[in-house]
Amino acid sequence: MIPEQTLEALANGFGHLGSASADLKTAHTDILSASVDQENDTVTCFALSFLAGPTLDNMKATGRVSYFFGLMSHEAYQFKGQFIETRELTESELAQSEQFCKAIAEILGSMGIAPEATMKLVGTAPDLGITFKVENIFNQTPGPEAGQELPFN
Amino acid sequence: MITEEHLPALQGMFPSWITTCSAAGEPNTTVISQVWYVDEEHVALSFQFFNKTKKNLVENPNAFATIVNPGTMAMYNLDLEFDHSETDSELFDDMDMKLEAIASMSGMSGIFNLKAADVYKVKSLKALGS
Repeated sequence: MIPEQTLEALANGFGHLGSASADLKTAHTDILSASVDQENDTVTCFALSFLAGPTLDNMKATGRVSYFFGLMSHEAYQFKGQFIETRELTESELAQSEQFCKAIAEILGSMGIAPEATMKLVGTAPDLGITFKVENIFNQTPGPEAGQELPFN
Repeated sequence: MITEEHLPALQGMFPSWITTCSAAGEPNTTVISQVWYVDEEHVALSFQFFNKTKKNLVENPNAFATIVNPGTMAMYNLDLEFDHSETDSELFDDMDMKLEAIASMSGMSGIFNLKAADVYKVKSLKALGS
């Protein structure tokens, strides 16, 4: 089971999905929320296919995944694991991402960022699910516990 | 390579992200508070508490970062290669002062602690989606 304490940040945190090529060059791509399959310990990240190419190519070649996500409160986590598949997003996942994007737009708006600028960040709906099996979870919230591995399974 | 267009994204007003990987190929992605302009071909990143990133860079100098212009939300991807660390320089002092200001504004004073200014060569810089 993926720890309960990470679920809010998984759904509502801004994420970046990272990978590395066989020759140790890295890449990452923006993620607009994610869903969890507790039965199989997998996470599906909601990605934009036009941005995810290099990151996805690496994952297909090496299998390894890092997923960093965090809330505005600075609460943050990093999941590491094994790439499984890409798939289409479900209606429910698209609705979840839409809510996420609206919330981010409101936060950025409250910071004085113009709506047209905000749309560059969260104005395009994700069109690709990238699923990986979670193997390790690390606390990334700034402070003395940053980097500590969370008990898992 | 770095032009005036990119400078607003290098002022620490919006978080940046960096992905590194170990010699064994295990990627690590994390957020950083500041990417610092050094010159047209170099940037500096603050080394604070992301120890895995630092460990990876010792093993493998390649890194990938994303910076954001806080005014336009334009994002840029940077392919980086670790060059050297500075702990006693004007660059380090400038970064330390700025970092403390960011920490104070975000209620994290005393938690952010600059250990070194890590200088990277910028191998490529691309606007996101280009």
